[in-house]
Order: sequence, then C-alpha cells, then structure tokens
Amino acid sequence: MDNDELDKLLYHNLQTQKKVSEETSKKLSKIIHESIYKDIHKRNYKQYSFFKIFTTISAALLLFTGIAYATTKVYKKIFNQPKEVSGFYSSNNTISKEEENKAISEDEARKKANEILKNFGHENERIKSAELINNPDNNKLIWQVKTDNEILIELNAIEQDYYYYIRFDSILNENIQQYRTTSENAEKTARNICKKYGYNLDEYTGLKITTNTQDFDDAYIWYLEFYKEYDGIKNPYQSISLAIIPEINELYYFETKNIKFEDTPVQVSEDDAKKIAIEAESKVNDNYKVKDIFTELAIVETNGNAYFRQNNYEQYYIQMHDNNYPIEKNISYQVDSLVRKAWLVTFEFDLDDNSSNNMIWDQYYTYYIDVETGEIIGGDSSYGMLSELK
Amino acid sequence: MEDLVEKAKNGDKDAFATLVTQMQDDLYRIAETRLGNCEDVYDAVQETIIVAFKSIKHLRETSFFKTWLIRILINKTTDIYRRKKNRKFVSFDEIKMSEKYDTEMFDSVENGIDFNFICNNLKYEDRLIIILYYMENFTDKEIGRILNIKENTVTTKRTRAKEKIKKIYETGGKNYG
Repeated sequence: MDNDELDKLLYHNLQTQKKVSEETSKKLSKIIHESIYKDIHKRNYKQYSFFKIFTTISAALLLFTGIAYATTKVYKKIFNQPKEVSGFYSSNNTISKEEENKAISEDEARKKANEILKNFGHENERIKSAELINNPDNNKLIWQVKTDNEILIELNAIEQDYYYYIRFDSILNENIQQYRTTSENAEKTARNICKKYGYNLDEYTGLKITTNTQDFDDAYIWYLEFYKEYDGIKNPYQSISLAIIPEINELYYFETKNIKFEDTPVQVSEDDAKKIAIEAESKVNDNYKVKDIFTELAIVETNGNAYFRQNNYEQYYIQMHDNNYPIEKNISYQVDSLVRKAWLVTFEFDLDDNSSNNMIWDQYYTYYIDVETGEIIGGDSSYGMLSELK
Repeated sequence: MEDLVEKAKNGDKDAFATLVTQMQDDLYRIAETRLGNCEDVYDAVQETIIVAFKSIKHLRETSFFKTWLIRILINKTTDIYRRKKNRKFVSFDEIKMSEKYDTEMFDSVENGIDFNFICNNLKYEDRLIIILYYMENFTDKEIGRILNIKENTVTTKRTRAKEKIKKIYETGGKNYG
C-alpha cells in the first residue's frame, strides 16, 4: 500500500465513521438542550485569586530585590537573554545560513551514518540520500540519512549533543504471526539486543514499556525506553529506546540520546518555585481566575517560550491562534540549549469564569523554574493539556 | 456560520444551539479519542458546551469558532481523564494501556483501518492529529493552532503516525483486538 492509497483509505474510513448512531445523536441533542436552556450548577473547586496571592508574597519579595528568588543566597544565572528570530521556524524546514554553518558537514554525517550501520551489522548498506532538516520536536538540526534497503538514520547535526536514531522498516515485511510474549521477556530480549550492539544499560535505571496495542497480551511490537534517573526523576535526554519484535527477535528501531546534563542540587523549594511562577504570571494574567496550580520536578530543556509570552503576550497568542496571521511575520525566541532540573509549575485557568475580559484560549500554562538558580528557564502552553513531559 | 456565531456572541441561545448541534458528531468523536467510556465522553461534551456558551462573548473572531470550541473540548477531556484516574498528570502510554474503548460500536470497515484501529495503535497525540486531519478535515496549520504546536511538527507527527499505521496494518494489524 503506498502513501496515497493509505491517505484515501484513512479519509474514506474515518469520514464514514464520523456520524454517530441515532441513539447517541439523541442523547447528544438532549445534552445540548439541557446545557444551553437549563441552569447547570458550577462544580466546586478551590480558586486562587491572583491579587490575593500576589499581595501576600510581594511583601516577602520586596526584601530580596535583585536576587533570583526569595532567599538570602545568590546563585549565578545560567539563562541568557533569548534572541528574537523571525521566520526561522515558521515555514517548512527553512534553515538559516547561520544555523547551517553550525552543523556538521554532509560528508561527516555520511561517515557517522556508515559507522552506525556497521555497528548494527549493515556495513554493506548503501546510503542513497542525506538531508539536513529541522527536527520539529525540538527545533534542533538533524541529518536524515536513507539507504537503499529502507533503513532510516537520524543523527545530531550539532557536535555537542549526542543523538542518533536508526529504523529498519523492512523488518516489518517479515511474516509476523502476532506472536505473544510477556513484558519480562520483552525486557530480556531488549537487554540482550543492547548488549549485542555494545550498549551497557547499567546506568539506565528507569524503564518504560509500551506496546503497539492497548493490551499487552495482544502486542507484537514492544517499545522499551531505558533512561537515566536523578533522585528518581527521569532524564529523557539520556536514554536508550528500542522497538523490538519478539517473534523474530529483531530490532525495529533503536535510538540513543545523551545530552550533557549537570545534576544540580535543589536549592529552590517547591513553594518558592510557585511564588516565582505566580509573580511572573500575575504580570501577564489579565483577570483569568486560577483554578489550580500543579508542581512537579522534572528534567527539561531550556526554551524561549515563557520569555516570549512574558514580553510579547499579544504576539505570542495571535500568531498561535490567528489562522490568517502571515507566516513570515511569525517570531520565536532562541536560547542556548541547556538541560536542567526544574520545577514545572502549571497553572490551570478557570474556563468557567465569565468575568474574564480576554478570549479564553488556553486552559494551562507551565513555567520551568530552575531548581538551582530560581530563574524561569522555559515554558510550555501544551503541557497541561497534553500531559507530555518534554 | 459566522452569522450564527455573531448572534451567539450576543446571547442568542438558539443560534448557539444550532452551531453546536452542527458539530455534535465532531465533538463526540474527538472526545472519544481520549476517553474510552461513553459516559465520560458525554460529560466532556456537556462541560464544553456549558463553558463555551458562557465564554463565547469573548471570542474575538467569528471564524475561530470551530477551532476554539475544539480546544475547549480537548481541555475538558483532559480534565475528565485526570479526575477519573485521580492523578495530576499521566503519560500518553498509560492512557493507551489502561483505557478500554467501550463506546458505541462502529460498522466495521472491510480493511480494518478505522477509528478503533487508530485509537488502539497510536499514542494520544498522534491519534488526535490523525482524527483531526482525516476525520475533521483540519489542515496541519489549523491542528497546530488547536494543539499549540508548530505546523511543521504536526506534519512530521502525522507522517510518522501514518507510517506506523501502514506498517502495523501490513504486518498483522488486520486482525488486531
């Protein structure tokens, strides 16, 4: 089946199934009627008024002007002023000359790809193409290399990071009869494969196992992510991930990431992190009521998202939500990429509140507060909605 | 539709009811991509309608109505999922492992690549993108607006999700579940 055929199939099948049953339709009509024409009571939940919180903490913060957060100790700042960039990430795979100059050459990329192929027993494989692309997951440059026999390799284009991904698409053409196994056996197979290809998993204390089906009992492709942990916190930037098909004891894909990370002690308390985030949010929050605030420790990569939102609030949301906003006018903020331990402080805003004088677009916003310096080192407006740790 | 949105912004309940009724199947299906239980799906749709009716007066552009409503819906499905699981945040893969889809039965399609296949074989973000693109006819750009991610990211995730569907289907997915 080629891509066009699959497209047609997806369109046809999903469109066919869009219409709900008559019973469901009747129920939905009833819900619509009740929701609009009858009074529905609000659910009870705790509320945080920004004004009240801000006045409570501002007295404390006044004592500590010029310091990253409310304490008597000063830590060096690690977050540099983000740089505004126009149009760089806005269109399809546009790479600026400046970025291109930072990347390793195509020859170097092909050499590395050949080394990877050799390591995985494919030293005779011929590379048919190599392309420098903007990895949309993190806006970093990667080289994407393809071979004659459907092997895909992606590897870091910037020297200081260590990352590659190799996928063997032709493996799935084998005659797999939906062989079943257990998660214990899948883990054992994965560990043996890692050992076979020279990867020591001793330092990777965390493991997440998922499969291609809802139920482990029905799965025939197993996805395992071994990752390093720091005080029980997952570091997604130091991981080895693989997808295996136990029936044929073969690898479908393999990925390794090892981005430089310094495990800093937690100097900023959870409460202080919340206060820092509240102060920042109160400067841009235009009368949204806050329904709840969540905090958790995580290892994240710095970004310019919170800076953008703080300093150019209107632009941030307009370019995100205005379907007609000209692409060439999109801006973003680039920062030096660092992986740091941070408090994720997520605000959940009250969509039920009709006193807001702003269009309610986003129910959540998450700040990254560095655990050592207390700086706001990034942010994310999707985290709360999609609940994915980046 | 924009006339109806203008009227709804001015408090016209009938106009709002018409708008939402036109989208009721879409709202149901999108909520279903996250919530496997039909009662939860109804709750998500209801909460979305209540909030949207209260907030529509603040909607800046009438042309934004559909994407705006779906965004509220996606937020509400997240709320309900979390309330149900009694935890603050969950991973896509936990959702994939723990939800059982007991919503209404579909007429089966001959080749097996259907809504249940998508939900059973893709993680949440990927299946949402596939459903918004192929079932709801949103562009990658519009999906990016809804999910607050870059258009380029949507395109890549959609392409990879399709590759996964193709491979799983071709190697035995016909008989899944």
